[in-house]
Amino acid sequence: MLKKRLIPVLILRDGMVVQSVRFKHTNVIHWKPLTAVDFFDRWAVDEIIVLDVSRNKKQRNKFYQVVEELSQKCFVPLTVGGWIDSVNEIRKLLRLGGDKVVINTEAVRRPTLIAECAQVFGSQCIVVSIDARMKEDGTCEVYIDRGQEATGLDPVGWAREVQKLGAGEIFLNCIERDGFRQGYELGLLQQVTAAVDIPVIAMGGVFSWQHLVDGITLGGAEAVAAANIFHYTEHSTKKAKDYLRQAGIDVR
Amino acid sequence: MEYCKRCLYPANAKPAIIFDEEGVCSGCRYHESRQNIDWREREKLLREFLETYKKKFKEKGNPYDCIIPVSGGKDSHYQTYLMKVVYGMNPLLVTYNHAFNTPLGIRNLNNLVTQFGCDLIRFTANPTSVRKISRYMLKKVGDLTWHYHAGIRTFPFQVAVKYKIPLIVWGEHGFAELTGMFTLEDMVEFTKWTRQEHDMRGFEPDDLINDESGITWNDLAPYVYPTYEEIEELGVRGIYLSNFLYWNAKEQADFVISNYNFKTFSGKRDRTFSLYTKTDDHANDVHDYLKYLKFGYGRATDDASMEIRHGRMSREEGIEMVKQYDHVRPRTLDTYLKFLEITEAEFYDWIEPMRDPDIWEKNDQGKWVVNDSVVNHAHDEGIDHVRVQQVGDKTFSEHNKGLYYHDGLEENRESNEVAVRANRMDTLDFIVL
Repeated sequence: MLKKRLIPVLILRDGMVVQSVRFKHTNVIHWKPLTAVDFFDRWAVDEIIVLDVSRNKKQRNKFYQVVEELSQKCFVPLTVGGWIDSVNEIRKLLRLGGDKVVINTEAVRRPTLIAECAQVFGSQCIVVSIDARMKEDGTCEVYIDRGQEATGLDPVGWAREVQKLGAGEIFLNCIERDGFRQGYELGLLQQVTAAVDIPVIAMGGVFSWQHLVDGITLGGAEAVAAANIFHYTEHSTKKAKDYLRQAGIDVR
Repeated sequence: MEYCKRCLYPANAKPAIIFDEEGVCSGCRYHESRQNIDWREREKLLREFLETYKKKFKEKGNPYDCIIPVSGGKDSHYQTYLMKVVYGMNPLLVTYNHAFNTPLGIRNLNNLVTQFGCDLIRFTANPTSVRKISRYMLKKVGDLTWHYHAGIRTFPFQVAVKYKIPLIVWGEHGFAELTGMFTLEDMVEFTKWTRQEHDMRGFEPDDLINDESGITWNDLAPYVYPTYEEIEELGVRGIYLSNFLYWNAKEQADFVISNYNFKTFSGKRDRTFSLYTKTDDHANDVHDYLKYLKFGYGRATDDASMEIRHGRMSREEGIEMVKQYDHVRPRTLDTYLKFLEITEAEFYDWIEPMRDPDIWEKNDQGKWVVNDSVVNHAHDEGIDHVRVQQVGDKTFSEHNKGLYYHDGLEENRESNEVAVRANRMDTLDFIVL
């Protein structure tokens, strides 16, 4: 069996790392994302995900610049996403140094894009991100465009669909849990991991290392991701990794 | 330029801020969020946390149970008061001496050690190395006090490792306080990356060694951070008291003035109306003037924004302060030009490429002018909607006259010592150890 992965996520807005709480940006943590990656890289992470959540594409060049700089410093796989809407855009990001890409909004609007990309770049390169929102009746719905647009899709059904279309991995976030310090939405995570064979990366809500363990042992995730928490304390990702290991999880 | 609708910060404020839907900045929201914290619970957490350290160190027979990095200012006094008097710890005080001391700062540092009966380790960087570093970093990133920030954030960790004291107690989280870099819920601790990215502008000591700078390893000893293994083995942690206690710098200054003989400036300062902040070094005026030359705002924006957030000053009164102070060329600039052995023209030339094009532009006469200021945003839409309720303790009331300078209140006061020192051109005199 593959080893479980630990993945810090950098949420980028106009080239700066911001803290996201329920998809709202509360503050800027790094004006220089390179520092964060530099430290994470030395602290035993398995992969780094960088997402451009800017409100518009005006400063997209800053994101390209960040990806290029990071790829030169980063010795683990670098996965990039946000505002990806075409094969050409992916080509550009891979040329700048990304190893994998994350697609969200456009995958819903034009599902054939997933198949097209999988064919051109291979499934292992394509991560489909799913942002789910809990409804009052306890069911979940997929949202796109940075959590603003409802799609009517059920996350579990949509996960099956993207697998069929050729996605290599699923990055699953829950909007209510995002930055909310309560742990992952385990119910949803369980349903999605049970429904698909491709790896699911859990995201959203980590505030203790135990939350990471829960994502794997209870949620069935292949990889556990978090953003905000890794910036708060010294040697954070290393401590998280140690904790996973002590909990009996097979990590690198 | 977009300006916060509550305080005075511009969108290009450093390190970095963002505005929410109401146009209020992350620094204001951080300040506001303190109302939602259960401070009794937090204080209890701190007390328990410190108890464990105290006990452990008693058992080990180590005389010191924590390190407080101090400059001798109001926060140093208050932190030491908390640790020693309130929590019964035995802190080792640690100072990185940056060489640009004011006599008032030296007086207050003496006072600190005497009042609280704490031991102090003070590392004095030699002025020749300081000059080299200061000059090079001024040219490189427009910062003539890089060595301060590097020293203040590094030397205490060297001491921690050497004396085997794994707990470092900082006061407020400065960046969180100004721009809301973190939230209070996150209980942020000191990290090497904040030191590197923010305090040291992305430079580690070895980045300074080259032919142009003339800087060698010998110049950089106080800025070399302990190794990962050393930090890990000892389990060094740096906590911020502002995560545990409601931090109110003004009231704390008042307290240490009344109870522990802390002294403030008297007379008008060049770049701010506050008389109790940044009392220990005379480079701050030039340092802050550089911020204005690069980003178009200065200390009056910082200090008035803090007053506004506390409700002691209205946004309009704050704007008056910005008008009065933010653009002022400090008198100590002459002294520093002499110390760094550069001309004023060189100084401005070096800074030219660092001027933020979002706020500065060159006019037809080749002169740099700001294209905007918070002064032009006194009546922006939405300001009334997000105002802070005013408190009774106004900044410029009579009983605060020792803390804030106001022309209306402070007639005929003696001019402050920074200004007097500016006229003395002997660099030996300028450096006070």
